[in-house]
Amino acid sequence: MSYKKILTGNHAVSYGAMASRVQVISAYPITPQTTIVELLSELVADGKLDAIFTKVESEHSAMSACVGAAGAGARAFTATSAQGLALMHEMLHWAAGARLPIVLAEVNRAMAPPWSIWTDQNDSLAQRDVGWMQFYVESNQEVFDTVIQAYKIAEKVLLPAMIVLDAFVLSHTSEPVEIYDQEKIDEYLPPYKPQYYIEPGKGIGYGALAKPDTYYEFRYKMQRAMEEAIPIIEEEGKLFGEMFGRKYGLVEEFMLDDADYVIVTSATVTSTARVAVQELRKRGKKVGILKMRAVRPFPFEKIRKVLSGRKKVAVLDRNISFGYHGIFYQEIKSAMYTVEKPVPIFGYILGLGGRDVRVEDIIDIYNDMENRTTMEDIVWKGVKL
Amino acid sequence: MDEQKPILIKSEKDLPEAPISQGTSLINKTGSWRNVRPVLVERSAPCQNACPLKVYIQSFIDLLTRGEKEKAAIEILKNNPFPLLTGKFCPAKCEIGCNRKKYDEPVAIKALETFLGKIAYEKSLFAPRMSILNKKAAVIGGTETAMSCAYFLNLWGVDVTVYASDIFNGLGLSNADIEKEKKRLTEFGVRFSDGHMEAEAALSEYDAVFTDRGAEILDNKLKNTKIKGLFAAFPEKKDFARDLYAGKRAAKSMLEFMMGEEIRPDERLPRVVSFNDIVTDYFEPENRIEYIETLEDAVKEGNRCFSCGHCNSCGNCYVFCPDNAITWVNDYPVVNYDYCKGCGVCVNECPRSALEMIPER
Repeated sequence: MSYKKILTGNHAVSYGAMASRVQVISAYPITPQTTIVELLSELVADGKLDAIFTKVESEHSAMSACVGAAGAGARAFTATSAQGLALMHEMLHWAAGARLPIVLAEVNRAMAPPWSIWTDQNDSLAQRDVGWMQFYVESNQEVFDTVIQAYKIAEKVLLPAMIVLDAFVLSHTSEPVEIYDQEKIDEYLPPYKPQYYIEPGKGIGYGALAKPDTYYEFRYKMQRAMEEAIPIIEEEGKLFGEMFGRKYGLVEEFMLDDADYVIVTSATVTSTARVAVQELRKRGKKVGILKMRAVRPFPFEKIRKVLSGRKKVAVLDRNISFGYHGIFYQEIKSAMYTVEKPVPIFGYILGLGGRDVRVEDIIDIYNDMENRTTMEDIVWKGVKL
Repeated sequence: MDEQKPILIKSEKDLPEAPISQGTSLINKTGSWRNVRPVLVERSAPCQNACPLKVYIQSFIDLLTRGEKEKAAIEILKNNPFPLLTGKFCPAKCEIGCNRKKYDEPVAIKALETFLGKIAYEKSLFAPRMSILNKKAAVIGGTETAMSCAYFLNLWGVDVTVYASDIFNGLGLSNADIEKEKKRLTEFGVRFSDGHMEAEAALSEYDAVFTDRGAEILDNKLKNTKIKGLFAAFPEKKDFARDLYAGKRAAKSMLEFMMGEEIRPDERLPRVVSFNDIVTDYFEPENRIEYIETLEDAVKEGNRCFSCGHCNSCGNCYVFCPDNAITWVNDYPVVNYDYCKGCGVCVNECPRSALEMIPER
């Protein structure tokens, strides 16, 4: 029987990991992630989750332990934030390069200095190119659902997956979350059956030296796996909807059918934008939302299809690539380069370091987009300088 | 989980999805990178070096702590003829030399030796006699030096006859104690004659003769005299172990003489392990057990021993070797030079300096 539970975003991750029957958990505490693994350690200690919880001395070691566990064929899980994710960087490459379907919950936290524990996306987007899939989620229910889907997808394409949720806005905010019947979850997500795994007494190794005559091919295979993941994310999201009543995909479209103007969002800013868009609709504005869920693999086709023929597009970035622009903005713009009729796309930076993003802010952005003509400007929403 | 299928790569198309390799890396004999190699060495411990009789203390304590108390007792008897008497009279220079003294307190070596000596006497244990040489020697006199000489000649395979009216005189031993020692010596193979014998007369009957009185010693290091085949030594009554050693040294010279070899001075022991050679991080301060009555106490006290320069199979090298190049064979480390890269971690982490790096040829 499914039931509803009031959970913080972090605890939704923990329950998602438990529902996925993870076998090895290794993590190092860091705010705002800590309560994810804190709850998992309790679930393991109480015998509710049959897993090995490995304490380690750093995030680098946490990911190393996951790499070892996944290499031996176990379903491995970890969680981290900001500086912790940065410290993991080397081993993120390892997990992806060794094609190990590890799932990591990344609670977006702004990078220091100056120190911050609040949300923005620079920490996870700095790891955009390591070969991990990235899913940006909007609600605690989506957190729970995406952990389960992430394992399914990751184990199909043999790439690790990162579930990215906003610090505090999700991580420490309680919402009702539907916990599905475990038997049904087991049906959706069967035990991980690795094709190859390290085994004591047998000479099997991951990641041995590959000379120039084969390394290139392994990189080609990684990119192919990312491309294969695109339809799989759609299929698995659809199947999930059929089985549990909540459908997911690469992106989510909101009020887009007749929209001339589109606001591209990610994570919790989407929820705020939903309210703003409904308000704007009341005022007769034809506006809708494109929510980015999968960022790696990047759904080029889907984006081109959704955004082609629109009058204007605003991309909201809770991140910045210093020296260029918002990261989502760059990606959307490059995806739209090949469409026949150019669509003006404008980039907005907002909410860095956990600065509140309010409904009025998004209405302001909409108004700004309507009047704006030059695309190259970075619009800093609400900067006090 | 499913049985793993072998990966056969005939072309790039057969490359597995993940960069996984089958087969072991043992084919890669990384030992060829090495220019220095670790070797297990036997160095001497300061206790052994300080002991006039050179009792192999580190070894008998090692055997004791491995649960081999009888072997440990026999190890003592190879160098110490009378462990119960040394228990009474020996000034225990071994304990003065003990490296543990610089850490907390020296190991109670004398008490351990006495404890094991008692076991040897109760169970009539003897050091194994060496091959019988078909040589006869006479020992004239009954001092502890003469008895020691008779003991070692017998141990080394010589047919020994002692000419003495009384033995172990002047030590203050009870008749019962003296009888006990005499009985053991007889059991060991030493013959006792009550008849009177002069050194010169004995020389015509025996291959070599020892006396503890009346002869002028030429070289005190060799205990030889002007008369060929006659050797002499006397107890100085300052250090009981030294007096026993004098007899042992004379016995060694006699053996060499009888075998027609050159009489050589004692060889020096291998390099003595100093306190600075000990990696004390691997030890905990522990109180010395002064009076050892039970085996449990003996083992506990034995475990305090640093086992300087003597591998006691602690396993540190095995644990620390980053390349699994140290294997464990019959409870001892054996370096597999096919894979040892000569990093030296084992040597650094050996708490007792029983490993050393030597250059590759």
